[in-house]
Amino acid sequence: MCIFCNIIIGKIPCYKTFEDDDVMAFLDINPVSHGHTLVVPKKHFTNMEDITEEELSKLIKAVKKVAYALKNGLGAAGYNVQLNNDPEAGQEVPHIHFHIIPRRQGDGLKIWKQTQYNKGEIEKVVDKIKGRI
Amino acid sequence: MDCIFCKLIAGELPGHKVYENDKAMAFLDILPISPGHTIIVPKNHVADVENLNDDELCAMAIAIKKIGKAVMEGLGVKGYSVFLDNKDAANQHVPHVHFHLVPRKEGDNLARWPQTGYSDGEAEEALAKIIEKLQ
Repeated sequence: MCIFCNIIIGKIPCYKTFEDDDVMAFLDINPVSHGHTLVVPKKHFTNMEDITEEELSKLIKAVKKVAYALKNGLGAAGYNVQLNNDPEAGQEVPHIHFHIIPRRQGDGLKIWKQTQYNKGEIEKVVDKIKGRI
Repeated sequence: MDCIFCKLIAGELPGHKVYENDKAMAFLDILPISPGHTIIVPKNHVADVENLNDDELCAMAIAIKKIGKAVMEGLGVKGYSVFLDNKDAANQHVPHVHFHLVPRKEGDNLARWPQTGYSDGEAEEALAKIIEKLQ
């Protein structure tokens, strides 16, 4: 059984910060910064393709609520919300989850390196994406 | 109107729009981490998550779900990362709340931030401080 499902049913202990009928949040035991929290739906959904719009809405509202408490409770200057969708993106547990990472000014955590499009490339990319929506 | 995202939404600046619904809009980042890197914004000017209402937040999340599927199918990638940087300290560079959606490929060398552990009692302490604010 999925490790997050085991945490949700109480078979594996966790540091639970929040729970309602649909969502649970608990501390990541290997935090990027103290208070780093994972927010998961109680039902097992693998990824963004799998979760319904209704459940996703409940999940993101819980993220907002927990993030507010993280920021104010820990006195953080800001936070990051992150989700890695599918193994190629670094999703390590196949149960959809958002990370909330409290941040401090000057903590040295940088965004990934940005590049540029070659001439004409951006138009091709936008067409490929729009064509699938 | 000084906000660059508001200008893009209003059409005062040219952009590469990929999607919009009643409350959210998405366009390509012109300095992409990977091709197809998309920015998702609420149409109203909202500085940060604290000022975003639930309808706008949910519209953004639903946009991410739709765009993510289209990115995977259209660009032939097998995954994507989503992130939101809330406040300057968290690397938010435009004060109009936005999600990034970054298409990912195996071996793209985009590393997660280093993880640490908690010393004895530290996790309990963090937990108590967070829970107090959720009451």
